[in-house]
Amino acid sequence: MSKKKIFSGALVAIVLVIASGMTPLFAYGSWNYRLTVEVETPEGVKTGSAVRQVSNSASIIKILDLPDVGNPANVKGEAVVVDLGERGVLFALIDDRSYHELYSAFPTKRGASTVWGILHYNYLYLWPWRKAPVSGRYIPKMVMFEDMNDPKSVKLVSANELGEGMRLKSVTATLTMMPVTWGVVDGYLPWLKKLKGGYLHGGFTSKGAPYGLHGGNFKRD
Amino acid sequence: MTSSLSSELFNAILSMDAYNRGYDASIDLGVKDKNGNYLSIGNATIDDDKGDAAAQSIGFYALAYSYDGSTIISFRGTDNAPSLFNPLPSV
Repeated sequence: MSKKKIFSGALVAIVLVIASGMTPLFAYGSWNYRLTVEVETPEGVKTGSAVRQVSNSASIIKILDLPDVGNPANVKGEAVVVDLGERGVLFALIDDRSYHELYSAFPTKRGASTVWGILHYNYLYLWPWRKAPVSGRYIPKMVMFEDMNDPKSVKLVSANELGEGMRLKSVTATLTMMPVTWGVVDGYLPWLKKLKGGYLHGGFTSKGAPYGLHGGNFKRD
Repeated sequence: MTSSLSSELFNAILSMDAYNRGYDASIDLGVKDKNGNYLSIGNATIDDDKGDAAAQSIGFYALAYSYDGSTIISFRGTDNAPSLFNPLPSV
């Protein structure tokens, strides 16, 4: 076999391996999941959901290699809105750690942010209808507003104490191929766009901002 | 016998502390009270921080501490070293 043929064959093999997104050296994954929040009220079960996206990449070759450690994943999406009618509107927030919703619902024994963890989620994503509960400390922070037009009227609500006659029924994550949800939160909170990701009290820093919340807790892109 | 921490060493600790608080904290110390407010570190109390969506978009995070009558600012920028040989960086 000529050197030229060997070289061409090797080149094709490398391209195929890279195109598959999986090599022993690196991995990349992007997974959409629908976060669904169900609340029991005296008027019946109220449900809200939003599709969020977690993505991450990792390489085996690192300057400092620690077992089961990788870069934190990126999260995109917005707060889940549960319209409780006369009782108000519940928002299940999003933040930089929201990827734990996906990771806790579909756990892996290897570090989720490592090459092997990413390959694990790529494999799971071949069946994008899997559904699992999100529980305990991975349930997102929830808030309500006394006045929907006033961002400073926000109140943190406990999952166990949503209000009289109300109870958090479930929080679930479902793998999906649907696109990330955008725009629902804007429909309920007209001031959100003007905030441009800033703190809810309109200040430059968190001092005085209710619970340290900012626009990125409602919409994260 | 007790010895006090030198200010240089404590400043170094505070500079490191910025990496373990706020969004994308390297080590989640869980050092917030039930209202989500930051607690102190040693004798330094945390007065303020900046880590909203605008700051996150450029990888910036900063803390302001009150310590020994002074205000000390500790901040971080890009804190994830790029993975070598990774043709598909995080998006």
